[in-house]
Parts: sequence; structure tokens; C-alpha cells
Amino acid sequence: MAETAPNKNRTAVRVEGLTLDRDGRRLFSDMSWSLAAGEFLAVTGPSGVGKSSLVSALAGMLEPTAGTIERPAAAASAGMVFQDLRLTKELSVLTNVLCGRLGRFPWWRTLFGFPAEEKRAAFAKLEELEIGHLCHKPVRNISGGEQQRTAIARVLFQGPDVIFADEPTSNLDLALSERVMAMLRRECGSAGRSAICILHDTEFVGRFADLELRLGRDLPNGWELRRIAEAE
Amino acid sequence: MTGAPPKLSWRERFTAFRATLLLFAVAVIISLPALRGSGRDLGYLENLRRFASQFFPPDLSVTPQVIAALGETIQIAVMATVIAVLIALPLAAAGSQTVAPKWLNIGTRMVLNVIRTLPSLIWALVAVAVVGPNPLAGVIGLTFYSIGYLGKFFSDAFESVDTSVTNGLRSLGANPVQAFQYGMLPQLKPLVMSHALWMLEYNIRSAAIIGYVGAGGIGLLLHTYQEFGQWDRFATVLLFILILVTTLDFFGEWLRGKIVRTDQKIT
Repeated sequence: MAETAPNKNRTAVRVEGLTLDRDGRRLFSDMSWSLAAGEFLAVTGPSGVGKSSLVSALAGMLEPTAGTIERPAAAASAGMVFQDLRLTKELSVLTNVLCGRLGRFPWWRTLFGFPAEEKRAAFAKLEELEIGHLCHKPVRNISGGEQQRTAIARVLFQGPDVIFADEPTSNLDLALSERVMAMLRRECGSAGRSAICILHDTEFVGRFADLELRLGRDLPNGWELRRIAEAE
Repeated sequence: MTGAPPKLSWRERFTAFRATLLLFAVAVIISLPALRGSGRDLGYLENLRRFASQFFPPDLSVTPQVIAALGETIQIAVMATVIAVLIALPLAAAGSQTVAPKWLNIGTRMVLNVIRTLPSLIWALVAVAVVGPNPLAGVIGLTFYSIGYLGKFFSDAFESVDTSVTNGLRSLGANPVQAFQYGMLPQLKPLVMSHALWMLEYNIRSAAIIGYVGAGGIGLLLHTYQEFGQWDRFATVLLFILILVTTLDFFGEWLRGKIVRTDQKIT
């Protein structure tokens, strides 16, 4: 299936005066920034400062306390790699990846499975992530790292305008982590998608991200944004 | 120096487990009169020996009739289970908080509770009164009974489903039907199949009894031999029921285990 690259000049996500409270505690306030199509934003900070809450709010799964978030309107144009992956463990690896494109078909087209060309394209993504040989295995029978790669393959196969990822490489070894990060980066570069990723590895932030959004209680309003290319 | 740990009050020590234990002990004391019997020495063991001796040796000459009746029993159970599964599934969805609104949950669960209150024998009696003494009455009777149980089991299965998976698919752009098919149904399928198999086993056992009220199957034969005091033939029927139920127990447990653990292939 031919994929059209989104317009690189447009804004992918814009945040204005965003404030988020959780359990009666203010995580951050008055956050404003915008991310252009094709850019990679790394969200960093210590545990408990609200990184996952921020990404959930950006993805539209959490109502912000105040402020506005502009993002792609259609659900299919935003993809998410959840921290808990949210794969259907009883289904095969390949079917889980195919689920990334459910939004492109009406329900009756997927009632008896997916078209053959979709299966081939999904399999190609699995091959890229070196889990092609597991394609017929139920997700519950593969390792945590393999499940994480399945979730990444699903979002890459979906091909959304914006990819939200909550620690997408937490279960992967260094070599695989680099490979996955390079793939996400490539999606931003060539396909013109944007990525908003929670990352813990500072080296990865420097190597792959365009912008770093750091959250922390010691920061003014609980956040700070820096453009990596300018800083380094 | 550290002192003794603070003492718990009697209310804190009176846990739900201990309260239940106490309640049970009281219930046992109140129920003791049930063991009195008639109060006269009737030679229980001699009674048992005399009655049991009539069972031996079992009259195997009735084997063909018994096998035919067993076949009818299995047919009744299979039809009742299949129809009940088809009716119970939508009812269970309506009774589950993860799928349907609360007002529908309460109404559906009440209906299922009412159906479950009546034992299969009563449902069979009602069915015999409506359609006459034949296997169809057995199917109807067991279907109603099974709907009550399967409705509850399936409903619990719906509620045990990890809804974050379906929510995840919705966030990827899947519509509600797709999220159900690819997120919820795969989680439900092994549970539904396992419960349906259990119900089939149960219905085969029940179908052996409902014949007593005229609802077909092997129970009818059992009733006839009992009425005519043909205990050696009665013993043959019991023997075959025992073989069938034991086989079902082993096979059913093995199959249910296999279904829950099985690898599901690509759709």
C-alpha cells in the first residue's frame, strides 16, 4: 500500500498553557510548545514527575486540568506504544501487527481477517524488527522484549501522523534498542511523521531526538524544553 | 527498649473468616436433629445388604436398549447446550458491566438469577407439561437451566476481560466491532468454550435424571426398571452411566485444559 508522507511544514502537536494535576498534586503547569511534522520529541525526567500522564494527555486519553492540546483529529492518525503494550495476547504476533491498520477498514472488511497484501506488509515490519519467525506464535508465548517489538511493529505498520511511545525500548537490549530508535527516527525523517517518546537513556536523547522536554519538580512550572541541535 | 506490640481489639481479631467459622459451627449444632432418623433400630446394614444384593449380577441382556437410551441422553444434552450457548452469549453481554449499561446489567442478571433458581428437574416437568413426554421436553428443560448458569459464567468471563486491550485498539482507530472482535473475543473464546464443555458434561449427567419426569433419555429407562423392581437391569443402567460420566470427566478436563492453554493460530 502506498503511503503518503505528511506535510513537513505543518504543526503535528501544539500545546498551550497545559496544566496537569494527579492525585491532588500539580505535575506541571502553563506548558506551551509545538512540534512540527517530522520532529522527534523526547520526554525525560525522574520517576513520578508525570511523563506517562503527559503522553496520555497528549494522546487524548487523559483530560488535562487546564490548557489546550491540538493533535491529529482522527484516531487512526495517532499511534501509541503503551508502557503495558496492550497487545491481544491470545492472537498471533502477525494479527496483532495487522490490528494497527484496523482504522483503515470498515468492520465488515476485517470480519474474516485481513487482505493478503496487508499480511505481507505487516510481515515485512516484523522482519525489520527480527521477529518474523514468531509471526504465527500467540503473543502470550513470546518474551517481554519480543512483545515490545510487536507493539512497535504495530504502531509502525499503522503509520500514524504522530507516534506516542511510553518507554518503547525498556525491555530491549542495547543493540535492539538502538535499532528501534533508529527506525522511529527514520519514520520522522523520511515518512515525515512525528514522535513523542518517553526515554530514560540520555545518550539516545542526544542521538535521536530533535527536542527534549524535561519534567522535574525542581524546574520552573515543572518543565523545560530544549532544542537538541541548538544546544549541542 | 521496645515494649510489647499493641493488642488488637476483639473487633479487629473477629475477621470475616472467623465469623464464618462461628456461623458454621452454630449451623451444625442447629442441624444435629437431622441425623436422628426414625429413632427406631431398623437394621440399616441388613437393609442395605438386601437392597444392594438385588443389583448383582447386573442384567447385561438389556445393553442394546441402554446404549440406545444413552445415545438419546447425549443428543438431548448436546442440543440443550448448543441452544443455551447461543442464547446465553448475548444475555451475558447484556449482563456484563464491561459491555452494557448498568440498567441493562441489573435487569439481565435478575432474569438469569430467576432462571437459575429452578432446578433442571422442574424445568423438565414444565416442558413435559407443554410439549409432552419426549426428548424435546428434555432439550427445553435443560436449555432453560443451562441459560441460567451459562449466562452467569459468560457474564463473569466478559467482566474478567482486560479492557485496556480493547481501549488500546480503539485508540489506534479500531471501531467498536473491530475492538470487540480483535480485543475482547480472543480473550473470551477459551473461557466460553471451556464453560460450554463443562455445561455439556453437566447436562449429560442431568439428562440421565430428567427422564424420571418423562423428558426422554436414559432416565426413562431407569424409572421403568425401578417401577418394576428390576434392580439387576437398573444396575446395568447405572453401570453405563458411571462409565459415561467417568469418561466425560477425564476427557472434559483434558480438553478444557487444552483449550485454555492451546496456541491460537493466525486469523
